[in-house]
Amino acid sequence: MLTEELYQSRIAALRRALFRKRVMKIALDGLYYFSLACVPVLVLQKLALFSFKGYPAYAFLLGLAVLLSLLQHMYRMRSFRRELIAIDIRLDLKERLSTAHEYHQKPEASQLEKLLKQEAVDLLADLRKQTILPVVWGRRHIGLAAAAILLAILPFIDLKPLVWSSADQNKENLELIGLKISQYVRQQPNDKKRPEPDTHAIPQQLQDLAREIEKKTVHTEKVREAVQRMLSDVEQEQSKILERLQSELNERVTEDAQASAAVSTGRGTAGIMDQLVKKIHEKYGDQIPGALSKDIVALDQNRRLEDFLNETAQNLKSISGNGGKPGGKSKTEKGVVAGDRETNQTEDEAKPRSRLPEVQGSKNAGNKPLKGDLPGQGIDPKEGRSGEGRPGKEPAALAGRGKGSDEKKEPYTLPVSKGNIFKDQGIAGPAESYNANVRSLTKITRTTATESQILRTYQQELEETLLKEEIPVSYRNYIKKYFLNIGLRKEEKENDSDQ
Amino acid sequence: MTATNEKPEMVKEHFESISRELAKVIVGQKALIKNLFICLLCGGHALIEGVPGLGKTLTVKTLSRILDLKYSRIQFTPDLMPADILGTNIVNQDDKGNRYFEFYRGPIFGQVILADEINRASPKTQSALLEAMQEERVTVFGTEYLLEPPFIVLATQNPLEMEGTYPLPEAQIDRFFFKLKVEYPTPGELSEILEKTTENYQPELKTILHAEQILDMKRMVKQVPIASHVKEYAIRIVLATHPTNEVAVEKTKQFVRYGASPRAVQALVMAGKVLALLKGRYNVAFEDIREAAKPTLRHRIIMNLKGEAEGIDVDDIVEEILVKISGELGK
Repeated sequence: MLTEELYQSRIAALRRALFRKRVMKIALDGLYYFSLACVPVLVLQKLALFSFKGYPAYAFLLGLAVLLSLLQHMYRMRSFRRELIAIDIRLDLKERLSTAHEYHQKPEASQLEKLLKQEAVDLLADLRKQTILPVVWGRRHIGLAAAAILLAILPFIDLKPLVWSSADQNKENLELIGLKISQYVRQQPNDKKRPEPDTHAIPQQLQDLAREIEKKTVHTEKVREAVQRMLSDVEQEQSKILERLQSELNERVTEDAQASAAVSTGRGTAGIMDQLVKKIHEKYGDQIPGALSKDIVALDQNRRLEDFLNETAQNLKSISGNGGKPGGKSKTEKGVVAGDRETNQTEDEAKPRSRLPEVQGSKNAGNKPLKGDLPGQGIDPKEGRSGEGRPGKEPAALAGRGKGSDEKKEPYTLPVSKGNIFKDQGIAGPAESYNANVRSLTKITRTTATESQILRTYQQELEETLLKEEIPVSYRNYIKKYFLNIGLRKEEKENDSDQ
Repeated sequence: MTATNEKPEMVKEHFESISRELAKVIVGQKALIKNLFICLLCGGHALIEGVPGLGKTLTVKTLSRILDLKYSRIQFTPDLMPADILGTNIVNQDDKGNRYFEFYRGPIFGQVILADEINRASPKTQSALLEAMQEERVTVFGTEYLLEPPFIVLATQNPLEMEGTYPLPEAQIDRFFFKLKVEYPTPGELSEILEKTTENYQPELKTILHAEQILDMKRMVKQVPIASHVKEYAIRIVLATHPTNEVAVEKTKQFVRYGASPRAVQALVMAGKVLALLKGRYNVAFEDIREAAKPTLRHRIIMNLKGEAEGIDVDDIVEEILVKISGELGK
């Protein structure tokens, strides 16, 4: 084969190799940029600072990275001649390839040029691809490896609240609990019987907790810990009240009950409370002292708070216990809301709890429908608020569970007095409260302005409007005449009446 | 394009032959010999500088004997006149008794001219060489006389600081292709010099090259390919010697009054071509330009007062330029 043809073919091979190398470099750089961008995006996603689904974002990032790499390479792209010069310098070829290439493009060839071209052909034959275009390990490779390692590790590192990284169902459950807490807290200002000073901070804590859940800055474990802490406070307060009542009665109910009181468990406390209330009833009849009455009310308040906290704790347990899937025994599935006693009943049968017997206003009484069961008082899962003021309709869908069951609930009936002194005197337990917003027309009264004044105002406004608006000239006069006619007629009428 | 009878490889072989022959008389001075050979093939002239006794004159004399060229020597003295170099018209008488002017050729009409201690003559006499060196011809009384090619002036000079010397004018000095520095011999070389000069050593020198061969090689040198980026490299080096140019190095800006002329680029490229052939290559590389830079530029860079006062060596400036420009190659 002639030197010329050999030179052509070898230079073409070199061109192809350079092109492949360039494509590889674009791909490598694109991947490098993609990895660099993926790490912070994945971290952000895991921190749950932004709510977005993964794949479209990553596809977008990949496209952006490749585009950036492409633009960068186009900006830095060297001509084939410059590539040859770079190869000459790198491999110390004494500028033979670049000079041969330059003289190859010139028409006239001297003896020395031919010899140089032959030399270039030999050089290209001798040089392997790895020598001409060696793989240079640079910071991009290191960066790519580091990013790959990070991306491999990151999925196993949970940087955000546990619930948010689980299934969506779990996330909804925790949001539902947050809604229940906030609903409970909203009800508290309506309650005239506030808890004792030692526990009065709990509603505020609950409100804070609900806000944190709403902001998604807290995970299930933290919520559970907070609820347990509050529960412990409530139980301690209950113990204190019980001790005060006992000392007031100056007698001990039973030795077993005393031991239980010291332990301050819910089950033991319930027995003591029942006995204490019976004793008070027997001792004082209808004439219960004010101090005792206040303690009983406080006890009732704490009981209701304790019930709510217990219920919340159970709900939280059901979330984590099911691994993020709402279980069959989940209270949320049954549509439990704050203060709902219906669903508590089944639990009460299995696990007796401390409860005041038939205190007026208390909603613990038996199977009576409670606030959460009132028609139209379920939580609207979409709006996240109580659907009050909708009597006569189907029970609202309970929180987080969509539409409620079709079973007709008992119509709401006021608690009936059973002759208990507490209920009769109305000194214990809150009554049901309703908030109704009624809108109506404002009261119609006589105006002090005369009709002519009003007409003048209208006329001024008419003039201004006619000037401002783009009304055809022919219509302007028509409109103006209409209003003027109204005014004239009125003025004529006034004149007639004056006469 | 003129075809040459010589093969490219022959340049290297001829040089090696010349070096071998010169080595019979001259001890060491390999760089000097190489650069003289480059000057010969490029059609340039060399200014050889060194203290007395380093063998400058002997080297040139020996070279002229090896090359089959007409050799003439001009000893420059303060009272030397231009006519003593160029020649003059003298009154002559023919057989019939008619008198006429006849041009008496001076020593410039040779092929290898040894201008010994050129800086001892006055600038007027030094300038007599200007036309001969640049255009290879002399004009006397309005008549032009062509010099026989190949024509090469090999001038020696003592360092300017020595007594009784006249610095060469810039126009004159720019016409020298190379300025070569003759260094002191090493102890080993001194020992060899002693052996060859203080004993009965009578070397027989052979004629290696003829004028036609030299002219053939000169033509071949001009055909050596040089890529445009290598030419650009040479240009950038020369531009970097100009204190007002943007590529000038810091030392240039501080100590240089005038940079190298366009003749410097021509010299760089031509010398690069010969160097490429001497290295067995068919093209000029960056390294050839780098190698030729110092002898090409050192006499073309005129220092300013500050540079003279501080005793800045021009070679240091050239070195800094090479470092800077070479560093930009990879970019």
